[in-house]
Amino acid sequence: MARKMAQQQSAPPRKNRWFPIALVVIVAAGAYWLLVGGGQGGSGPPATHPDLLEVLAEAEPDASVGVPIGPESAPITIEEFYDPSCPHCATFAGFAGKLLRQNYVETANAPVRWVSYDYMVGFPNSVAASLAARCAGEQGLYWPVHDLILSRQTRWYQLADPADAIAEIATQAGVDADAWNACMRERRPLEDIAKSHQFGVSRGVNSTPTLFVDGVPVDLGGVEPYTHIESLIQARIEALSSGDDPSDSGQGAP
Amino acid sequence: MSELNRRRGIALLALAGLFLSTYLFLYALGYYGELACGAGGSCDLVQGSRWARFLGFPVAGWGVGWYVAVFGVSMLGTRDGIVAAGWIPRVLAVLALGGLAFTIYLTALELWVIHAICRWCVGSAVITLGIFLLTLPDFRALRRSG
Repeated sequence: MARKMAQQQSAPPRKNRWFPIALVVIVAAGAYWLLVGGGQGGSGPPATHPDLLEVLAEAEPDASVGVPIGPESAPITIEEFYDPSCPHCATFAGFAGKLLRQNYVETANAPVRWVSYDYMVGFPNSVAASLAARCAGEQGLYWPVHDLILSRQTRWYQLADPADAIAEIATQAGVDADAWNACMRERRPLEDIAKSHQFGVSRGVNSTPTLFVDGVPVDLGGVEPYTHIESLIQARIEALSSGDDPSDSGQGAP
Repeated sequence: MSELNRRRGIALLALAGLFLSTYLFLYALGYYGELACGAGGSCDLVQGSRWARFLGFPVAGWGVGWYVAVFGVSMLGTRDGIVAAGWIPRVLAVLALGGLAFTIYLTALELWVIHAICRWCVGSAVITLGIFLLTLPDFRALRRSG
């Protein structure tokens, strides 16, 4: 066999040219795919939704309508106000939010409890998307639908009628379709969404995503979100372990 | 097919698989907001499930490591002086068998547990199967050493 291979090695170069060419073609195609074809994105202009604004105006702020993930005993609470149609929220959720939850919320002895609040910036399809996640929450599937709604934002947020696209997302997350559809028809969580929004207003939120670490607002301007929030978490852990708790926000996160 | 061309074929398949798994790994790390999955695709569902991590590390990351190993060993197996080394077919056979077993495990999870199919996972499974088929003659070396 060694002799056979040696013969092949000494064969005329033309016979072996296909291999380096194939290598180059695969490398070029793969690099192009990773750099150009992989990412998806987009943004659109916000629009107002007068009916929703009317509902929102009548609600009272309520901190208890936030949807938590992570251990109740976690010493640190991060509150996130998000609008499901907001492109920055999708970007944040797809990278920094995902990593933060993986590393600090969904681990053993997680130090952080993450609470999600709806804050309606004014996009037309946001209410339907927020309802979808909260209706899934009635079946214990808030976070899978929340995450899919954001990661697939470009598929529904600019549609004139996003109902089918959002229903498809909920179905793929595993909701019981009949129960979920009933919740959506009755818009059961609408009041909670309105209370959540008003809670944000009461906290000074005016854009999304807005985060609070143990009640202290996070300034995301000009920083890399994951690194910045991670440093805030580490600082809180150190402060709590040394008994020195400099924050006294009094905001009362759930 | 000659042994040299078989190893070249394995290297090309592994290289294609390396890009595919890198794409999924970058998604798992959050560098892509959404996977290009086509209408009705379930990539996000599969990649967002708890089975998308193995031993605390994204499955796609394990895939990157596996494809790098297969590509490296098969490329070494095409070089003068190493081409006839006895350890090359043994290592390739072990890698291919492990990769196929893990692929069967993941595909079974998609079909019967998650109830969703990710086209990129299917692509990786096809590549892994191709690598396994190309390494079948190397199992003779594995049996001899066993």
